[in-house]
Amino acid sequence: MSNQTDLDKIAVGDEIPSLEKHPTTQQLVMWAGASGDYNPIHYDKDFALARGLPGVVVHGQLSTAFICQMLSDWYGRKGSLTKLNVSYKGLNFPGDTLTCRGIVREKLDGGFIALDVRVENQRGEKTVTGTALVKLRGRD
Amino acid sequence: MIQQLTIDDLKQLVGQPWLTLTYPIEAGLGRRFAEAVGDDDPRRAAKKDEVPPALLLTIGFERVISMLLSLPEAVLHGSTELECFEPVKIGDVLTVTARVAALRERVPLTFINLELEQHNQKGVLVARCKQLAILRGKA
Repeated sequence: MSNQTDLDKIAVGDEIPSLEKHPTTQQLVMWAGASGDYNPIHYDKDFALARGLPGVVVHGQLSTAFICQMLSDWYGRKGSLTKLNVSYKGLNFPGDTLTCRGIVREKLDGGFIALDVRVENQRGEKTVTGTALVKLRGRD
Repeated sequence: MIQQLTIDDLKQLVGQPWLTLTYPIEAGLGRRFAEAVGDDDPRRAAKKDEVPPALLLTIGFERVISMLLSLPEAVLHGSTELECFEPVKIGDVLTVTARVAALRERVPLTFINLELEQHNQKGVLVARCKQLAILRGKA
C-alpha cells in the first residue's frame, strides 16, 4: 500500500507502510533526557542484570513513540491520532531491529480508521501490540 | 527533591489526587523529543507547531516514574493508553493531574494503574494517558 491517506482507497486488511528502527544505547540516553524517564534498567547494565533482566532494555514508551511515528508518516498532515492503546509483551534491546506494523481493522463513520498495531523484533516476536484510532480529514 | 515512597503510601493514594504539575511546551522540548525518536520528517514541522502525540506520553509521567524509582522494586512498564482530544502546540502550558487509579499485588509483583490528565492554559482537556506500572520485588 502506498504512503497515502485517501480515505476512499483504504480498505479493511490494508497494511500501512511499516517503519524499521534500530535503537542504540545512545538513543536510549537521548530518550531518557527527552522524556525524563531515568529508570536505570535503560542505561545501567549492572543494575539491569541485578534486577533479573538480560541487559539494558529499550523504554516501552520509546517503542510506542516508534508506532506513533509510523502512524503519522502514514496519515500525514491531514490526519491525527485520536487514541492509542498498547501492551508491552516482550523486551526490546539496543541492537535489535524493530519493525512497526499497522493493519486497518475497521473503517468508521466520520473518517475514523481503527488499526491493529505492533512492534516486532528481528526474530518475528511481537514485543508491543495494540490498537490505534486515527481520524483522517480528506485527501492529503 | 524526589519524595521517598513506599507501596503502602501508594495504597493510601488510590483514587486520591496525587500530583499536579505544570509544563510549558517549549520548542526545544519538541525538538529534543523528535531527535530522541529519530523522527526527522519535515512534515511534522509544517504542522503549525503541533507537538507529536507521543510527546504527551511523557508529560507528567517523568515525575511519576521518578517517584516510583525511589522504591526498592524494579519498575517495569505494562501498558500505555493515550487519548488525544485537542492538538497541543508549542507555547501551550499544560497542567497535568496524576492519580493512582488502582493498585493490586500478586507477590512478587505489584500492578499500579496510573491516570494522567492534561489540560491546556484554557482549561481544556487535551489528553488523557493511562499507564500500567509493574513493580517487581524479590519473591
